[in-house]
Amino acid sequence: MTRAEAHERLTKVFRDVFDDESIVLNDATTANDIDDWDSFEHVNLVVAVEDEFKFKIPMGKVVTMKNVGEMIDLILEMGK
Amino acid sequence: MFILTFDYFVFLICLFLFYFNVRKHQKSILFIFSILFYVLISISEWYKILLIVLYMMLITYSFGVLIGKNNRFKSSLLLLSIFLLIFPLIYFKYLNNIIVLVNNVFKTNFIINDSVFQIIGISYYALSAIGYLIEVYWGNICCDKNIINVGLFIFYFPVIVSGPILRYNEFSLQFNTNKNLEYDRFVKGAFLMAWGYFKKLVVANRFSIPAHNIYNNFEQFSGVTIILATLCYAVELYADFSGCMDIIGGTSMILGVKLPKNFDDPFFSTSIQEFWQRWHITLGLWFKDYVLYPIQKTEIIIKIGKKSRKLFGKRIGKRIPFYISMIVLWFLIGLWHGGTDYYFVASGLVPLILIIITDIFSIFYNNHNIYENKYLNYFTNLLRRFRTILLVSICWVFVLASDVSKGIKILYRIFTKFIILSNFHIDILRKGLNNINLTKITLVTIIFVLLCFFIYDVFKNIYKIDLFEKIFIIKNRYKVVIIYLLLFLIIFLQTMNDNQFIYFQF
Repeated sequence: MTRAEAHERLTKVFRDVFDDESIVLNDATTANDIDDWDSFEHVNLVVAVEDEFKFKIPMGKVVTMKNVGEMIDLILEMGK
Repeated sequence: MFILTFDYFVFLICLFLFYFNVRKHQKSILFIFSILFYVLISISEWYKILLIVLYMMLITYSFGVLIGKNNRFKSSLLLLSIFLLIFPLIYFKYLNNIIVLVNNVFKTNFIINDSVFQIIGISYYALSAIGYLIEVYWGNICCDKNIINVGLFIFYFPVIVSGPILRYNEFSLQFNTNKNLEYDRFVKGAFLMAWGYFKKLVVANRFSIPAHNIYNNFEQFSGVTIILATLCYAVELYADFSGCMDIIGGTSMILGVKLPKNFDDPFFSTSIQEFWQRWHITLGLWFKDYVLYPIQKTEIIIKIGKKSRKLFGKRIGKRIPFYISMIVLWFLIGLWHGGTDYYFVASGLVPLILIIITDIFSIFYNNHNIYENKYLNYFTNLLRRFRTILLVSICWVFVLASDVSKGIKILYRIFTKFIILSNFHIDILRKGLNNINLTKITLVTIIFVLLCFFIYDVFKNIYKIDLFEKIFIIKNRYKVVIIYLLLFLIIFLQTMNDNQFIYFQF
């Protein structure tokens, strides 16, 4: 999987979780840039990413991931 | 109060040694003085406290090393270490309160354990220690093989009695190099300390007078007056706790360690969720990272989420697992506040109900309206802020009443005797000023503080200027003038009616 493919699939996951087709992601996107990305939606997002990319995000990463770039790095390292 | 008594001046001796005597051993000096400070402020016999110190240090250090070895038993080791760290907290802090609660609710006769003694600050440093072990377990940090480092992290004296709850990675990074005494940092720290003392001795203590006096005789007052008393208590609690954090933050700043923020103007929150994100931030983040997220990520909660989405649709279904996690979370937060019935209600049940109700409302109602006119925007947000404060005040009713049934009676009176027309003027003018000991100086202080709040708010939200931050970047000589001004105001306006910080009890 290339970074561009991961990015494209991840954008679909975000749009689905947050019910917002206008979401555009870049590596620097954080929870502050997406209105509904709060502690309530964070784990929903993590579970949706796990389902899409068929891997388990370690709990330590769930807490420390700072932006979309770090999420894509993790997907490329562990995802399918 | 420890922080306002001579005990705290151990700090001055520590400071002298820290910077001027044996700078090569700054960590050791701070560690020794932290333990000394803790023993000095403790009410129980010193040897019992030393045993607790040794116990907590050894458990955290040794389990940190064992978990860090990445062996196949590390999950069991983590669970065991959490149990061992929580055990003294439950035994010494919560057990008797829980026995009283169970006896009251189930009419049982369990006997209270007389052998327990008070351990100050254990609810704060136990959480810091558990957080450290969880981070080692997750692999986010390496275990520390120096027991002094671990001991200093748990018992660092500025934070030992009231937090904030520390994160090991943020704290240890600041201790890697020896520190020089910097004039700029010293003045900033002293300013923050003076500001904290002003908040506690002037603001909190003055606002507490009408709040407590009205609550002591609430049957005589109308609902409006009781609401005003509750709002006074809200200011008292905020000034008390954030003042304590400023004194602690200033002390630590002088020692070269920046502490995490524990408050972010909570009274300017436009929603109840936002309020809890801006109030006691380090506690909220601790529970979010180490309790809420792990619960939400358990297999059973994920399965419930998937099933409820199928049954109720995505929008409602995804909320059900979140609400289940929130029930566990707020139960634990209620327990953390002492496990008494009224703290369970005030710090657990009421916030939980408010958050769930407002979240359900948010499905149907958008709270993010932004108008083009900045004054209209400000006014709308002002109303939202006022609504948030009123809702949060329901929690404070129970804290101030210190009794669930009294709290319910007060709430009932607020709604049923909102305004007593015939007595209203008497309430405010005669009883208000005489019976509740609301002297002119207290009244003037309250009006002055509220005016400052309003000016700060207008500048921050309309002109996007943070006046407090501005004071931090002015030249040091002006800062020193402000410190003297604050000390002058403290001397003339302070009232020593209660010098115990409210959050010391937790």
